[in-house]
Amino acid sequence: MHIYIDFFGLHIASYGLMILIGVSIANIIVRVMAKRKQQDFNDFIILESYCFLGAFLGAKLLYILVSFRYIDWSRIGDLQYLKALFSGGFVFYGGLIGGILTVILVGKIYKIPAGEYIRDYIFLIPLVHAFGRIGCFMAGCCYGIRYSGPGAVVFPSGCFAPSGVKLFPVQIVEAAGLMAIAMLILGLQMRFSWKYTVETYLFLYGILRFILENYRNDTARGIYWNFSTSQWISLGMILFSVVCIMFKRYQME
Amino acid sequence: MDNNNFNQPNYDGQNAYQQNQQGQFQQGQYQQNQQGQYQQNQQGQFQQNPQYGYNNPQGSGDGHGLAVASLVLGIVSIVFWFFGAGSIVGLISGVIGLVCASSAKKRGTEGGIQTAGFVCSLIGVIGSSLIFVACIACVGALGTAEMFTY
Repeated sequence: MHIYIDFFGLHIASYGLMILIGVSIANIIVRVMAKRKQQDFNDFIILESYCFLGAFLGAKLLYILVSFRYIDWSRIGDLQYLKALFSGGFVFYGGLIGGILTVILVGKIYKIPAGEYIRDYIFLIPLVHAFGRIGCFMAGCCYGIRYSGPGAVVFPSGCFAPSGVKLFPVQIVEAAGLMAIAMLILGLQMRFSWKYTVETYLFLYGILRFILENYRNDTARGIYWNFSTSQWISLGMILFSVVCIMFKRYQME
Repeated sequence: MDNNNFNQPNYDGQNAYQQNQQGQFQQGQYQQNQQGQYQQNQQGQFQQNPQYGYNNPQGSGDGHGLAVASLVLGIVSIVFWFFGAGSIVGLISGVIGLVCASSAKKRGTEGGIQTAGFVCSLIGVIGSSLIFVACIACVGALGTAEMFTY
């Protein structure tokens, strides 16, 4: 568990490094696949770049929304406080929604078939997310509830997680689940030319996140009618994916 | 007919593809003159100047401008590494630099400046990400950590 990794004197944030590794692997995969499908890799770079900005903005906005009560608004003029506000604290679902909406918008502006790219490469989102969760584990953030069963982890002092307490390894479990989702979607695509890749991802990740939210201890996100913010969003995603599949099948018939 | 790899048969207006003396099928839109430069077809629309490694059928300004912009933005994103909180500006400029570089390549501008712009922007984004991004999906260290004590 290391928030930072020292590499030849450089102090590198481990979470950022893991995301970087995940994104690099994703781009290599796209490079190979795009060549086979005769897609323009430059189009993917344009969509990916704007998606990154949209995801950043979306994740930050949702974080501010759910943490509204805990932000010291009187200090918002303080540059150091503002820097801390921008540097830490993002919510994945905000990033997902912001990123996808931005890709769709950019596709219309640049006349790129964004829908095709989203369908073909949606499996990369859980893949990169898995690396991010490993980064969370290394940093000790997004930690789990108190737990003494098999696989319990104890974080050292200096992490975001409380030290010396046995916790559920929710980050690792979620990373494994995300990797399984990514491989499943990729396998369905390659083997059966699966058309419902986006819906499959939203459905499966919605279920995974809904279940694992019960094993996380970040109530600061907000609890509304016994469910956390992420659980409500997960339910929305599950419902949305089912409706989309039904609508598509109705259109085909 | 020349025997180099860029030999193109004449476009006859009936069959765009002809078989040359080496028995390979080639596209008959461009023909090579004696100086080794590609010239336009019968409609007089396109011209390639290999001296600058530049091929922009739309005009010379579009793609080249984007390539220069990507280089400038890439350098800016690297410079902002050293500005602490300003690395967010570096992150944004690096991302836009990547967009400019890819757009330039789509417009047919390839070569030194476009490649340099892409590489600088990519390095800028990577460095800014490592410096700036602490943790996604965390509530962060804004004074909420103390809420999670046991």
